[in-house]
Amino acid sequence: MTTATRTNGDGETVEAIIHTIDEGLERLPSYQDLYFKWERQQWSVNALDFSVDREQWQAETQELVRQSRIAGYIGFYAGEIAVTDTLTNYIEAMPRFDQRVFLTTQVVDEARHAVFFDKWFTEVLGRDRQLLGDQMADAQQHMGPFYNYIFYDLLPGVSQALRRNPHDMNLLVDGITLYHIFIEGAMALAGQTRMLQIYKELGIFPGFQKGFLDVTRDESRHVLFGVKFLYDMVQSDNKYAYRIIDFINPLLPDLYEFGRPRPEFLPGLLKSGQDIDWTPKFYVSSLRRKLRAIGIHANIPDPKPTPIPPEYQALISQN
Amino acid sequence: MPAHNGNGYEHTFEAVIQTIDEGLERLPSYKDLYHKWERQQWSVQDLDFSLDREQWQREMHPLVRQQRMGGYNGFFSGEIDVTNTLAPYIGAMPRLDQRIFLTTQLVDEARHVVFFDKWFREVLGKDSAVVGDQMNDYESRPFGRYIFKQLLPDISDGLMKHPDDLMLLIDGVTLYHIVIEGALALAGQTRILTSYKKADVFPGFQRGFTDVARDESRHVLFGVKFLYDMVQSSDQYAYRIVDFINGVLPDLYESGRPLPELIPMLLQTGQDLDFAPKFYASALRRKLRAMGIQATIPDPTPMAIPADAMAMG
Repeated sequence: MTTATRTNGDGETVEAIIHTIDEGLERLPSYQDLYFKWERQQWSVNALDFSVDREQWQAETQELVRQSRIAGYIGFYAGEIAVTDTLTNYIEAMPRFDQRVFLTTQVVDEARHAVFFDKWFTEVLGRDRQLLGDQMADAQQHMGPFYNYIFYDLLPGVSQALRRNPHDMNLLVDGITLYHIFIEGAMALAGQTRMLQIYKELGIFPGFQKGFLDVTRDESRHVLFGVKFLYDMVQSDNKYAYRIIDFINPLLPDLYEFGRPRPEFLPGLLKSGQDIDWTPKFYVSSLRRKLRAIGIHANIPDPKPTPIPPEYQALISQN
Repeated sequence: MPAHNGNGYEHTFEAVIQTIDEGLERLPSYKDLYHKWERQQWSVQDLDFSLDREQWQREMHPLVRQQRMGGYNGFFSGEIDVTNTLAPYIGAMPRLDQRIFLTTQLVDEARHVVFFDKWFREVLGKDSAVVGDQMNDYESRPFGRYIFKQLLPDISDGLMKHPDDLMLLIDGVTLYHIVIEGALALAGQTRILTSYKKADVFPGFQRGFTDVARDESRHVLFGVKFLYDMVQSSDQYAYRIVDFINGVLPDLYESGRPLPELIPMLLQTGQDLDFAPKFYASALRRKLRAMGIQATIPDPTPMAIPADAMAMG
């Protein structure tokens, strides 16, 4: 594990960013510290160069690899649009001004991430559009039911409820648990780690790696904000600890299921010796660390191992 | 007139004003404005107020100190109010590229609050437990109170409840981007930065406040572009904008007049008592023209100079 925690992005790795989150979980920063960190960690989509990435994308001949990558890009791009469109109601609902100030940095981060994926889709995947975000108009058709439930049902539902009831602290605790802990701290972080590790290992998409690392660094601040906010809420009243656990528990079975690879990708993953349960294991480990930092002692059950169909058993023994 | 540098980063206030005027002639797209924001980043924590603090602590005429404090309070309080009211505008914007630009504006407004918080702590010696607390007891003048504590929050609450109400959004952008940022704030920034430059004081403040003004130049251009697009889509919006501005104009002019106790000092130093109202009229005319609206904005009536101050004038 790399333990260096550079702040300027040069030579920084996703492992270093995860390490920064872990360090932050041990010693939670203040809301103002997180704001100033945002000032220091600026980056520009406009400055990213995707010319090599475009050549490499066009040179990829395996349709299954292409499909798998596009599914990841759609998941992130549509997700970034969904979070940009839902976060403003959280800002209104935050009781303290320094919390609201931090959330303004987060909402502009989410918008910048949408611009990043727009550039990727336009310049590399060749999917131009009339208006920014148009490429994701039919994203729901490409994503599974759990993803659609989280991003197109639960998240907008909580956000709209906050718009109507900005003083409902229980709802705000649900919202932060969903957005900062569950989506950003588990779902997104797993996807980012996996994609960045694979691209680094393969030595491909240097522009994407640089930008996506910037995205991940932004989200590390968001996750720490969420943990800090929930920690403060739990300190103020223990009932919020139960609220957080009750929110996470019902989502876990479907989350674990969501993290399993699609059946068509199983042979390839098994052949290359990859852990097909890597993602559900990442989720559980990530959620446990965040809950501990929030000051909650709760049991998050381990995911069950993915059953391997008999016809693929031989592939395991080859490794 | 100072030129811009190569990356579109204006270093002087005059260059910022020039950028607005050029933008009004050739309106940028929402995406252009977003990318401009990316290029024009600045950091409050990089500002060095050590010289400013020394200069503030030196002997200063009480009226000068009072006038300066009035400006700081007005801007700090106003920045808190606009930060607290902009989020519902984002939810109400019909297009993603418009919403994306407004997220940049929202974080700008928050950064301006952090800028004034630093100024109040490090220079004026007014600390706070939470950023912005210094303004908890601040009472502005009646027009400021009406605009920032009543009209702006009312429209913002209205947009929160009715995010699809385009008429309300037109009112909101006209108030926020055109009246407040494009007239009220720009006049105050011009006055403060011009006088500090002339007096050669507060270099840290000048740098940060020019950064603030640069941010607001993008916001104003966004507002004009949005209203231009709306007017192009339906003529009814032009009437709505003009009606909104006309409704606040008399009190806006009145609010630009100096406090009576400051008049003798202003006259003694040869300052124009009608600077702010004249600035408002000129700023609003240019913005309306850029939106494609032909409307008459009446001149403000010149301020009557009290008899006892006539000799100084």
